[in-house]
Amino acid sequence: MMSMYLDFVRIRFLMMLAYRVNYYSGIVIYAINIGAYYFLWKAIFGEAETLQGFTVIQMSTYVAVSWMARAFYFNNLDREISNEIVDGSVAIQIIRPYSYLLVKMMQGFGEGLFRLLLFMIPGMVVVSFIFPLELPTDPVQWIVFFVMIWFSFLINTQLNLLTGLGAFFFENNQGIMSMKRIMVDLLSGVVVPIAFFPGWAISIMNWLPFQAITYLPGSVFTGRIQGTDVWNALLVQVAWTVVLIVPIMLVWRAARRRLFVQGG
Amino acid sequence: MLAIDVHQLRKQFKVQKNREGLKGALQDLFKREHTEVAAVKDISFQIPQGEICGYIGENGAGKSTTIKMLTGILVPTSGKLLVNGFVPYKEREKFVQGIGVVFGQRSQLWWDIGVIESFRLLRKVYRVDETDFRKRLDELVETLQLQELLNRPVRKLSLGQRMRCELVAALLHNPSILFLDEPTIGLDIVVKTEIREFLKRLNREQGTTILLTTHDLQDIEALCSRVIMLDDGRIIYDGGLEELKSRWGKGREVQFQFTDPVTLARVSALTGELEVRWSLDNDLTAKVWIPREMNVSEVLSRVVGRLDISDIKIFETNTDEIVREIYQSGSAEAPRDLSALTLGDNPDAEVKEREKTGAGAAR
Repeated sequence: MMSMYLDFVRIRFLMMLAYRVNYYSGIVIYAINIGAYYFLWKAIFGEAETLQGFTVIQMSTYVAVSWMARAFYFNNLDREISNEIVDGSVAIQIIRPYSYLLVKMMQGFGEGLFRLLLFMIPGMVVVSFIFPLELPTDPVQWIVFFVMIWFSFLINTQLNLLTGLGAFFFENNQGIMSMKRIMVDLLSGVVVPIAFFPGWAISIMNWLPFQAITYLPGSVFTGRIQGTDVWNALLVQVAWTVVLIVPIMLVWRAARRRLFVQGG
Repeated sequence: MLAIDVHQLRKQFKVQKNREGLKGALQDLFKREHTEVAAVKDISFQIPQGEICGYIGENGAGKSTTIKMLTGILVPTSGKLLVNGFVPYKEREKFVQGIGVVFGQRSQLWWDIGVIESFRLLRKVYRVDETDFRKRLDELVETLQLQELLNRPVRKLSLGQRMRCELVAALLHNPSILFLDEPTIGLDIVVKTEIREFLKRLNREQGTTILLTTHDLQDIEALCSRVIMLDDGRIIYDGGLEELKSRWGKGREVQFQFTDPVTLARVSALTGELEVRWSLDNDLTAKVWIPREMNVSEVLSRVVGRLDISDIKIFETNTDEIVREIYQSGSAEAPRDLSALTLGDNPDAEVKEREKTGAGAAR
């Protein structure tokens, strides 16, 4: 049973290797993004020592690590699922004795694993040479960080599954998918750390799953969250992972009922 | 035991209604109107184990919808449905272990990886034992001659090669029922024949129940002992192919090409009291329908001496013809005379169709 799901991880990993051009262009895009945000934040800081409690070095570390974490948790499962529903090939998935959503998740994991090993880790090494970063020295902090980006992956993937399944209910799912994408980037803290939002916005975002994707692991990595607060941050991630299972199951069940396989 | 037991099965779809004009579009933005469309209307049939059954009908008659319900992809609106002793959509994971499905227009192989990789993955998906898998794969590869294809990525296969691989993929877990949705679509005659032979052998040796939908009636003639014909969501015929033929194929038709213009009255006069029916395609071409009991030569002898004939064609009604006639009338209950065919609203279109089938029969 498990070996089947692991095989999906393996095959997706191999497929990513096969499409190398995507890989190289990805590196370039991420390098440009990290560079752009680094210089932007430098300009914003100007003469100031700290902004919202961030030092310049903390900020650049946060920018680099959040983009690198994004490389791991990011996937296009929403678009894949949506396409499979629209072109009807989801039918093939339903006649197989496995859980479609779990298979999709494993494929996303294969993709994430590929980027983690061939993209994020070498990328982090390169970035740490170019920009002044402050990497954690405590090994526990590293371990917690990797556990946390695993949950980032789970939460982000769950959101992707949910939006992808929207294609069962809407004729055109594009709008919802791009809305989700912008919301994840903006509200998870990739573009702007959540500490920079106005107070009322922060209190809303504390109740949304997005901050658990980038802001919490990024804050732990840069040392802004320390001590027992680290466990609280992890707990928030675990809670969201569990909570999100409910709407996914509900949507999946409803979708199976009203499944309309297009084309015949 | 019954492989498939269907009772009063019905499937309705909600279809969005798009209102006209700008105003309609704005109204649609806030409140959608839906109409219910029934694709399958309360059909019932039983298929015993080990039977090859053809499931035919025009585009949109509800064939694919039925197959999708039988395979557990769609949930029926109402009715009873038992396949292999399971209600397909309820115990999905257990149920699909026992069936194999090939969709002619969709691939179930993974596009980017080698064929053999796909098979290995399917082995794990269906939890097939390694030794069983090897044995079965060797058998299938040998009968379908796939040796050289195994290491190629699926996207580099031709349609015929791919379809043979699809069959292997559907059969690796040794299912007792095989569903084929237009398995020969787009294939050349050699591959078609190969696949038919393979399916026959599979049915004979393993006793696999096969239900196939197709538009190619030669598939049906080569494989099926029984046909279920569907029209507008209802079953209009369920029985043997031979019976269908004898009930419908009531005669032959002879087409004359004359050198001089003729009239209907003139040619009718030639055959006099004989029970044949003449029809005129144009000034120079006439057709005569002859009942099965009558000898063709009887008619020919009356025409040949009297008029100059440049060409003669004899059409035997084949299954294509019969089925087209049934589709057009929408019922298999009351067979009309074949001659009625050529008296349709659009004789020209009919003639072209006919010539095509004529050529097909000659080949």
